[in-house]
Amino acid sequence: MGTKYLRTSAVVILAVSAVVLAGCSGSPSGDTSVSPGAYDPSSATSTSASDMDALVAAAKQEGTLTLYTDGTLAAQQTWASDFTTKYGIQVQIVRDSGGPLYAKFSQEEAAGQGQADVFGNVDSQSLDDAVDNGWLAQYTPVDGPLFPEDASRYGYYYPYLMGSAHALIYNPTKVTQDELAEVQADPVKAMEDPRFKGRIGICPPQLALLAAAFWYQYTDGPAKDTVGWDGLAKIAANTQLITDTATLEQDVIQGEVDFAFPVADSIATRSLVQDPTTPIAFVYPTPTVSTQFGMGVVAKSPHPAAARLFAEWAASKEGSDDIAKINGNLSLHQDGFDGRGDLTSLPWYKAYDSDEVWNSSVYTKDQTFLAAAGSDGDFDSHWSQVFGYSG
Amino acid sequence: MALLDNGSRPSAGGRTDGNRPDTATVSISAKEKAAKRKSASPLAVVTLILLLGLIVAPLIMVFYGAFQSGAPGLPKTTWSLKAILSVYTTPAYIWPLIGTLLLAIVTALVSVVFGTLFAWLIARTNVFLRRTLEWGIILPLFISPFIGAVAWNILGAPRSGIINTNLRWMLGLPDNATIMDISTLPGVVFVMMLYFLPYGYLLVAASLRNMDPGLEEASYMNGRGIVATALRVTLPIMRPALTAAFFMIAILATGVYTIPLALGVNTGFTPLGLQVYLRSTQYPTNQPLAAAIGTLLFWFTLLGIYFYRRAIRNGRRFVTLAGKATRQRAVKLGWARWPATILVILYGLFAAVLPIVALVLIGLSPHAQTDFRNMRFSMDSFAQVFASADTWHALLNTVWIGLIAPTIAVLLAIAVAYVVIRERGKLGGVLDYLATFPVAVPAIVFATGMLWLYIRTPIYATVLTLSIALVAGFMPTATRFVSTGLMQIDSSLEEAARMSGANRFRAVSTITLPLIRPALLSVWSLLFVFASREVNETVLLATPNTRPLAVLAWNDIDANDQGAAAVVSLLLMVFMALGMLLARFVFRAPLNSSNI
Repeated sequence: MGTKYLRTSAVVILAVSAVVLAGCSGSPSGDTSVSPGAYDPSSATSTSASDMDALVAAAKQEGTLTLYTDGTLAAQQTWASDFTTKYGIQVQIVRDSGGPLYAKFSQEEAAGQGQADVFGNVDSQSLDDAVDNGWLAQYTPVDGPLFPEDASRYGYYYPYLMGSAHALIYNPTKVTQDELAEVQADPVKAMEDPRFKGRIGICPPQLALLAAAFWYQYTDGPAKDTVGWDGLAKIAANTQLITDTATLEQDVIQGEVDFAFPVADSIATRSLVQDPTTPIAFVYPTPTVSTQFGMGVVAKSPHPAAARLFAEWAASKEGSDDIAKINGNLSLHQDGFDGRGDLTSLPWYKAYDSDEVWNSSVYTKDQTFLAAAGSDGDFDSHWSQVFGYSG
Repeated sequence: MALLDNGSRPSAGGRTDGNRPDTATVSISAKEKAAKRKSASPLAVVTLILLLGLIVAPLIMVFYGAFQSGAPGLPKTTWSLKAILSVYTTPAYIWPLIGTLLLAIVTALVSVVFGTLFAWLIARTNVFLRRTLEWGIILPLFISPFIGAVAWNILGAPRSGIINTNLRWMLGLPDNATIMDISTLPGVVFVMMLYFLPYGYLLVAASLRNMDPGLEEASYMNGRGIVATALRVTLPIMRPALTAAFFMIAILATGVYTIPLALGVNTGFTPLGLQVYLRSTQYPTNQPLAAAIGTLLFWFTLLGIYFYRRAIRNGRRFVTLAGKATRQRAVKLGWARWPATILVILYGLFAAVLPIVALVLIGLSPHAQTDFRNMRFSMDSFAQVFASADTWHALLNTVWIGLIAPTIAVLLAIAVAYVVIRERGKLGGVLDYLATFPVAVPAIVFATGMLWLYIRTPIYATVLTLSIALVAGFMPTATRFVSTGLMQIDSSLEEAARMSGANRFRAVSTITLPLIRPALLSVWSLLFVFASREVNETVLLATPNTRPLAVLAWNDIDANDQGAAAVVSLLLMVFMALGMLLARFVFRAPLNSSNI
């Protein structure tokens, strides 16, 4: 009797738990009482007020969307949560580094098994490839033209998320004034100094085209005479670990390494905006690289209205200012907000020289660089050989 | 995990077909017997088709992918020999291959040595707290090795790890003193050993239990000491079990990539399993190269499985001859009793307690602060994780995968074991080999094939895809458990039922299955844990709607949210513990080392 009762109870508990979990986790249906009205899913824009009303109604009926992004997860979650608060539409986030994210996206789209509604990537090359393959929809949000043209492909993707430049991050509690002076004078060259041995974390070129572009500048680009492959060997001798940028930030904060580069400035600014006591600061090398995180609506989006509404919100001043505040950086919207706030008045802060920045709109069209850094080129293998990196 | 071999078939009293009673088969000529062996039952054919689809088809996709210019199915992908030639004809992969094999061999050796020592201490000596210590050895099975590695990275990082940071100021050591460095090859071996040791322990402990202690007793009576008896009697008898444990761990270690990745061992040599993962996920992604590296690994693990099957076969042959008539004497360890007890306790501390404490601390620390003096605590990570719909979605997916994958695996294992042991037709040998085969395929390689195979089917992006991948991986374990249970039940019971008019299904379902129920519950429970904690395969196959908790933790680590990853990992452990408690106390699944 007792055992039977226990077993029956267990089965009931399992069943109830599954139902409760399903209730907690299931996609919300949104406001199903709202009629989708005259929404046209093939529309390339939603300019009129009635178009927008119909879009909102249709999006709410879909109730959910999936965002593929290579931006910082915590920042994306906060941003998406603000969208959910406004429209009641849940956002599922798939976050990965740019390369693998595009590999996953392209395989799914090519197989007709697309999961993404909105696709974002730091590499405009990947976004252009997606457009060329017909995987991104032609859709222009109302505020789309207010974003810089050289960072967009008008009609397909726009840099809603942010622009970002690569920096050298450091832990100010672990660095002496003397060391800091050397690092601030020429960050990359300073990393050749033997006194930094075992204190440096490195982001390899294999992580993303942006990282490859950074290193390429110092081996074959404008800074090859100051650093070059010989200087790289000295940096390699001082290197403690090689990993991705997000992990490097954590390693600097924890004190596993004192310096790390190249790391997107937005990773550090977000942490400092969230908690000004975070033990992290950064300095921009000269030259450095910059990019914009492009984002577009997926052509065969499972939730086309929700995807377009998200694009509208992301492109709007409201959505753009929101992510700028979260990331602690400058919005790329024409009327955008400077989310850096007090950061720019900190004693160590110094903006990068915009004339010394290799932007993704340029390096993604540099055929010599692309040939060297592509899968058929020898740049990665040469770099790996210098650093003894076999990942 | 061979079910049978020519030298050890049970119930071999002239029966060739489980459907027929002995009396009907004795008069059959040898020729007729041979003819009978060739005919395959519908059950055998269906099982074969299922195993081919589950196990062989993904592997074929891996080989197919290795001969492509890009990921199969992409618009510009064509046939190409580039990846294969790059892996098989250039020296680039020789050293990584040698390093991978050495890493696997060293891990297996260390795991078997300590697993054997622990098995002997628990089974044969008067070590303190035997039952508790045994659970301490088995407990790490219920922790995902990936999560264990993440925790050890927090504990043993050379400069900022909890151990180094705090021992420095506690012991008054200089700021640059490094007491331990987990991000080295010995560190990788150490962490892999922590999570592979239970496999070695279980295999050797089973062999010790089956061994006649009278042999050791005779040695003692003849004046041999503890060490001499262990070296000259116990070890030689256990050699097949030791060999099997060694090859099984070596095969598993060959394909592990999550531990080296989590420990951040990126300079110098990179194991091939990790290279498969990196080529699939780093810029510029090169999936044909990943597949080609996978095929290279495959040949070596296949060799390992040959030796593994041979060792298992030899072990069974020996056990058949053994008896259990003699009383087992507990060896008195004398002065070594406490050190031996402490050694096993230290293992439990390193493999389970410290990692869990590290996860709790990181979950409570806003900046993953490791210095106890500066530690601030906050429930932010817990609040963030529990407020996220992703967490509950992942928990639901974990429930589904934890229910579906073990259930299908056990059902399929029953079919395989029945065909091999009861029907013993010609297909039995093929099924037996196929069911063992997944051990030879590194999980990451298998997952790549699964992805390419299922991405164009309607079940892609459902928990069924993940479950199917896991079922294939679980087949060796499930089949071994079920076959062991089935071999202990004499077929005459079924035959009596059939003589009384029951059809085969009724005979099996009303007699055999209830009798092997303990074995079925044990393996189901174990596979439930494995399914819940699995990352190696599921990380490539999971989509936003199907990712389980273990993959969510992986994603959090990937996004550098250590606090969230720690909380999700703890949630996963609680989930597994609740599942095991349910299995143990409600469904009465026998969960101890002899059943596991």
